[in-house]
Amino acid sequence: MPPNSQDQLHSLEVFSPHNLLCMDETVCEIFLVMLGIEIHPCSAPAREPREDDDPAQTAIIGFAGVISGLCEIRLSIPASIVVTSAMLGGVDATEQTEMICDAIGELCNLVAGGWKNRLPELSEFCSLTIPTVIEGELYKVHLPAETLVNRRAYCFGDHHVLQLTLVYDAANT
Amino acid sequence: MRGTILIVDDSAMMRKIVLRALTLAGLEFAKVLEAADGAEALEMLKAHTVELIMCDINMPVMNGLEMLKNLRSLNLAVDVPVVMVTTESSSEHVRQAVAVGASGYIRKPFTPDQVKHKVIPLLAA
Repeated sequence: MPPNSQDQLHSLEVFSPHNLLCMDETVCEIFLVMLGIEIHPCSAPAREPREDDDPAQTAIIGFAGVISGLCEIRLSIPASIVVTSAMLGGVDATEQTEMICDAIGELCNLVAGGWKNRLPELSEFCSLTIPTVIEGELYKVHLPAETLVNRRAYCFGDHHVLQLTLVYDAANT
Repeated sequence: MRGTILIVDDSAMMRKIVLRALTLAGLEFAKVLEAADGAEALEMLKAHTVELIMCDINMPVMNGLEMLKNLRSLNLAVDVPVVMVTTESSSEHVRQAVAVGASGYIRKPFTPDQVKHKVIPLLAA
């Protein structure tokens, strides 16, 4: 049965240490299994995009159902190329803009889907939207006041960083 | 060398990944057909005979479960194994996929070994 009372919904504790550990495990598993790349949580400051950032690719997927929220991943263009090339089995993806967008969208899908599938309270009762990919770095995301945000960062390869943002819309859940 | 495979996924990247996993699993196909959604896949199946279908669930236009329902009702690709490849791995999704005729289910992320163990028995059967 899906959670059907406010108490049960609050008890989900979407950003509990256990659930966030599950996200870390999900990201590491996906990078290792699908890309053959070791990645680990790092202390790089997870933050909103800034004017002096390198050009980046951002992918966003929404959660709907027992929770309302979204999962966003952001990678610099060089990091996006590394990820795309790995997904293609080592083929250089430098000039393949469409393929890079596709890869980052699919990576976000894998991360969001993999995370929710690890959480029994979400896996059966939460759906994913299709991914949206944003090119460029100077965007601003405006969120409702009651929204909870958790930002995480993961390091891989030659000083590349994957910025991950989880948003939980408590008011609309 | 096997015959023809149809890979259905709205992500061109994921279609390549699925094909690469099959190749790494020792399964090479003479011809590879790709479709970006269920409707496109149905059109291809009217014109081609395939040995295996690897299909995503969440796709625009026509999702994988709808495609399977149509496949059976149109009497297309009868006896062709259809393996669902998806991030959605809830028991409800698996139940729905089996109910409409899926032969197997692979959760993303997957390794070539996992693909091998799911697909080879279906082809040998």
